[in-house]
Amino acid sequence: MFIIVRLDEMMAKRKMRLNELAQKVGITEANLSILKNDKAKAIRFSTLSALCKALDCQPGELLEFVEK
Amino acid sequence: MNKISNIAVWIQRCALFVVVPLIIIMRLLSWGKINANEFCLAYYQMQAAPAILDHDIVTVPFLGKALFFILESVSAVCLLFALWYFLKILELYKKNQFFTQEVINIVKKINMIMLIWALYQVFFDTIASLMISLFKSAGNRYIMASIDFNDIIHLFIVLILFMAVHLIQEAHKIKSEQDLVV
Repeated sequence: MFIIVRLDEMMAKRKMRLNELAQKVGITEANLSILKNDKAKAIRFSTLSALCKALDCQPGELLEFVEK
Repeated sequence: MNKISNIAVWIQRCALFVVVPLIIIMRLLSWGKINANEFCLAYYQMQAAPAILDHDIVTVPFLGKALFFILESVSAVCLLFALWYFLKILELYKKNQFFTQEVINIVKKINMIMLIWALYQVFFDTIASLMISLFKSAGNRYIMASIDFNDIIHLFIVLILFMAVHLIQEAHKIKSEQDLVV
């Protein structure tokens, strides 16, 4: 059981690059990579809000629960 | 530079220029006082007349002196080793590395050295008496064991260090997780 971050898909839909998103959200590209590659242990509400604002989406569109 | 790094610089200077020379000088000075050592006297008395009790006129042979000097220097060597590793930790603190695996490994080494040191303190009397006994004839040999308040304090220091290792390990785990919080 784990949570998948659908950051790749959303970035492709919005035609946004990683550095551009990092700049808009205000976090480093390294941290965004951790999130994109599903290595993150946790995500702050402030980061999630900033991501949703930058990508113009809902948290549910970014996160998905997978049962394995 | 944060507060811990700042303090680390001062402790490092203090250890290098005060503590280490002090330990070495004290050890070297003890060479002159070794005649008054009770084990050294016992070593001497088995060779000379047992009636001689005045410490001032006792002259212990060089080999006996050297033997007890080495025996007494073991704890100082342990402390110097522990201090050397401590300086290594301070060097890492100066680089703002507080809860890394490297620090944990070094603290574990210090803990091990301090454990050897504490146990050596406890068994010092036993080792010294055993050494003297080896020179005595059969039937006159004896072994001594003693534990005092200082020995308990030394073992308590080791226990505190043991706790510190576990605390640093926990801090390292939390830090590793914190690094993956976005």
